[in-house]
Amino acid sequence: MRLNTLYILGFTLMIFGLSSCIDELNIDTEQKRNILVVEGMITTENGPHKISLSKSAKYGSILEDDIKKEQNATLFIRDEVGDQVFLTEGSSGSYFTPADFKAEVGRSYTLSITLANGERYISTKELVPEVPKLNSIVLLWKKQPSLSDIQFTSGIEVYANWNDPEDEKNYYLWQTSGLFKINARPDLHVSKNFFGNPVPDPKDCCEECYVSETLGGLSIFKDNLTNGNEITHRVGFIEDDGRRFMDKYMVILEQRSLTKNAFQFFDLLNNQLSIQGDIFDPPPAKIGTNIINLDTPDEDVIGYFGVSDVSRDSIFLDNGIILENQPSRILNDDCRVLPGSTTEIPSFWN
Amino acid sequence: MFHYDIVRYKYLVLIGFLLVSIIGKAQTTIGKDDGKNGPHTITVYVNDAEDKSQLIGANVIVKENGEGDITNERGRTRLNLTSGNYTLEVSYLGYETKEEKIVVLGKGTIRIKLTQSAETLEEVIISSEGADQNVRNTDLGKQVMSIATIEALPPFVGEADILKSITLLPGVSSVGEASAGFNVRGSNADQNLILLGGAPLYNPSHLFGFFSAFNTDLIQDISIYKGGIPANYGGRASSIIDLRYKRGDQDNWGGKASLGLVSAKASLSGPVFTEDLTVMVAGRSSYSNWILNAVNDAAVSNSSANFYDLNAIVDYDIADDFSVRYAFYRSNDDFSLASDTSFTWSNQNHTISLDKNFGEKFKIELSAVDASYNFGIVDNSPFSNFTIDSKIKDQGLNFAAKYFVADNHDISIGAQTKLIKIQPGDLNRVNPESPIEPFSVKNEKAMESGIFAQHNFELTKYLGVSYGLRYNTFRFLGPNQVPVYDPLLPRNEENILSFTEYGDNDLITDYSGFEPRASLRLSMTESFSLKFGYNKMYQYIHLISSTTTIAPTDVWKLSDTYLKPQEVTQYSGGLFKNFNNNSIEASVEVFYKDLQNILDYKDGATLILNNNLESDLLNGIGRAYGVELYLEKKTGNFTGWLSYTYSRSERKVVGSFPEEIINDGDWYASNFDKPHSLSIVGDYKLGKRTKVSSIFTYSTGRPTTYPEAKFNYQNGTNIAYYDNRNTFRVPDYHRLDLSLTFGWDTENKWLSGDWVLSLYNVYGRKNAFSVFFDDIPGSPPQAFRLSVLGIPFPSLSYNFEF
Repeated sequence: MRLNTLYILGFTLMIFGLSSCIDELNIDTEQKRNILVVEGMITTENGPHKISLSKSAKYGSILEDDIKKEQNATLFIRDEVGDQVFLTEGSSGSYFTPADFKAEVGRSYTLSITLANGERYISTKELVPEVPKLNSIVLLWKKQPSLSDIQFTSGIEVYANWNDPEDEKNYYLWQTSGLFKINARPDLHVSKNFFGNPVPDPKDCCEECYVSETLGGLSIFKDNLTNGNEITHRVGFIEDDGRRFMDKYMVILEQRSLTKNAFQFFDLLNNQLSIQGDIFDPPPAKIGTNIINLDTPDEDVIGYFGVSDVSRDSIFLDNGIILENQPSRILNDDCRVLPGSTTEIPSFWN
Repeated sequence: MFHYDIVRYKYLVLIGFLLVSIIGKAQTTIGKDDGKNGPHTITVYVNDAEDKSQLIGANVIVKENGEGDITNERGRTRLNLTSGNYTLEVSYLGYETKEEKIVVLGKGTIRIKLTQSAETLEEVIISSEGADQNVRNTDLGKQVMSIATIEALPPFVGEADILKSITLLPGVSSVGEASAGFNVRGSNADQNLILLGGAPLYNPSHLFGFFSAFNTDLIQDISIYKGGIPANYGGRASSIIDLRYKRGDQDNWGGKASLGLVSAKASLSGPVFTEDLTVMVAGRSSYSNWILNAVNDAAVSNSSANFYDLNAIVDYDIADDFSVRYAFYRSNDDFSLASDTSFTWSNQNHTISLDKNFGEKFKIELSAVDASYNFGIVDNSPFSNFTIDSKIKDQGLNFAAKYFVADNHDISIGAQTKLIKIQPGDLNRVNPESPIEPFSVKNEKAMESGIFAQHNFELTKYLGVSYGLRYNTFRFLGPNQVPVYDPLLPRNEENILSFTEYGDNDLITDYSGFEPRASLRLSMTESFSLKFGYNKMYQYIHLISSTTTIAPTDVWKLSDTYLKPQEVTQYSGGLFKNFNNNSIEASVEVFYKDLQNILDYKDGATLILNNNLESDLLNGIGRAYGVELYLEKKTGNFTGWLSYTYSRSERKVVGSFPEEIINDGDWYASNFDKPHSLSIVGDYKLGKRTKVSSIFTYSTGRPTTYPEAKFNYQNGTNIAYYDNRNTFRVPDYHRLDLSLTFGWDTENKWLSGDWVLSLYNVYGRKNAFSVFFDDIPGSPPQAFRLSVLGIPFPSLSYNFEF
């Protein structure tokens, strides 16, 4: 029986190239390049919109070389009629537009950057395309394939539904975020004493919090194969971490428009993020940009200054669709320790 | 006294005749006495007594007059004898020499079966050619492998594997375990022409390269041409892998079967009514689904990995000098993961060939081939399911005539033509609710033809020449819609000015070219020769793949207005020396290859469902060069070989626009540039039925692209930034495999088979199939290695004959 299991495991490993065949490899990539990285997008919603500047570093641990924020730069955004807004530096390397600034559909914008060292950069002109309105959000429960009965990954798949316009090429990007209520047990909080041993240390507050989170993962789409149809497309996955779905969860979806060039940039980025070492991997490719150094146009820059129209929708998750819950992880602490949490009940809750 | 002798003589003859009729076969009578004295044509077939395979290059000598010949590639030779009694002496390396007494009365056929010599039983390498052929002929860069050699190697998951065995030869390498293609002397995987019984095979593997897609039980032998390619082969630019089928058993019905852990196969062959009509059928199927289903998890048990292949071969000898063969082959793969996507591919070939001899000196061969390769992807994800189907249809007619001027002197001429149709991808919805709009990438059609002449002759014992010329034409035909690009701008979708429409069979563009081939042998001694070779080849079909294997995500594309034919010119030379009465073979070969119109792709290219593929591709040149050492011990209890190759394979892409330049226009390593490559294969016989075999293989890690920097994007994840391609290498590859073969002779033939116990990757080397970079929370962004089989992998199989 033991042998049989081994064979099954071995064969399954063989055909699926499962992750247990993947291990860390100590490689020094030897190369070190400090390239300007520009990340940011302005949308048709109210600001402030954020543009971040940093410099790339040697691939490896932070002990070898760390990514440095690019501080004290001067940034402004100009539209085609000459109106311009300056950005102000918030936290280091992050620059913000005024709160009342919003892009308008059909207008074009360029981003100008002058670094602290005097190097000047400019983006290509980006025209804001209109985004079709979201019809609805569809949520499905999904259990990922697993070799184990006990441990598996599960969660909620988020689908966007909309009507794609027929007479134009459309490029989309989605940003999924969530808001959920958490019930913590601050009374069970434990601290470590002088000797490092756990001792009960109950806290008075707080049991109920509302946590908002932005979910990672890049979801983009182009309509070349589905032009003019009603489309339901998978745009995100919210993993059941034993905490999110304990009470009530609200999925917030932003559907954004992209220009063709922006789509190509995100597509390359997406390819890069999807590389898992298997036989279907796309080959690594050089990430492009729409930012040019005015003095040395051949200089490599990473990142894209994007402009988007936004359609937004939200939905409460019906917990009944979850067929198997992950074991719950109750927070034995003040619920406000979670990033993005607040004890204030949002006005639209219930 | 005299009278007495006569009487005694007659008496002996009478007893002799009686003995013949009692024992049956001590003397064979050939032909019917028609009163004519002859000479009569006697056709002699020589077979292995055990597995009935034809023995090629066996020596047949008539003891009475010393005349004789060696058997041809069908295991056959012809003798011209007048009526009378003769003794034939038939000999072959590794076999017991046999004397066969015959009485010739008229024209007829005799079949002689040789038994393998006791001291080398079951482990001799059955070369289809004579023992000293490597030194004696003009072939350069040619290697013949017999199935016996391949079956003697440690198997992988219980299966002897032809393509994996080929990669143990000098100058042949593969990218890794899960990769269907292989690279010959620094050339791309699509530059290999794989012929199975004369029909081209587009995908030679099952399960993404884990298994070869054909059944070894039916294969007589494999010829691998790395250089010095004869003019009768064309269409692919780098190498020829010619797999020839066996003929069915002409005496009895029998078969072979093998049970492994993942798959089982069986073959059956025998005569129908007469020994002139033989049939051979074979099948192989995986039962991996059973294993997957046994896993107690819905997701895994809903996955499937299925493959099968089927063969049927019918041979009919219409007359002694006229035979016809029909061969059918089908392979199928179906691979689906629980995650909604499934991949399928299948090859299907029909071949009919006629083989006619006109006397001893002249023969013609005619064949018709219908080959197809279908592949597809099915995506069953909710809401937006789709299928993508692709097809290649390749239908050809071949004619060849060969005139044997004298021993070691022959001339061949021939013509080949084929129609190739490619459906590069049809997108459809699975159910009507899917938003996917059906879409077809424009189909392609072309007519590819070639004529050739080849002349092989031996001027003296010390000088042999073989040269040929092939002329190809390729006509790319409509219907098609060809974009016209702005010549001043980079070729991309935005810069299409207009489209030119072509009707059905309209000529869109054509290419033609001469392909000269030549090789020369200079022999210093009987066992030592020097050879030189040159060959040029064009290729009109391109495999465009972003992956390292031949998979359903690939695109096959014909040369058209924008994609010029691939062109490879090779110069090679070699030293060949045999030792110890030809029992040890040694050679050193060098080569240099010039490659033109090699494709690479732009960063972020879209390959699948792309109607204007030329706008995502780049045109480059390549060069490959190397030296190959080979040492083989062919006889004795210990046999095996050592092969070492030093070679480089590089590419250069310099277009007119910045996006059309790779690595600043410098030479860069191809994906399969592995400078050092070493294989040591050994086979040691411990007893009559017991032996151990081993393979050790080492090669430099293949080139890969490493990040030049990390940057933050999208919520602080560290992302790798790549620039120049293939400037680094994955760690070196090495691996040891062992196998033990044993069996017992019993009364029951079902139980007398061979057990093969093998251990793949004995010391569990985690060979990197790929190295990739990721930023996983909890550790710094770093390199990861995917090893496909990073553990010792045991398997057991049972092979028996019935």
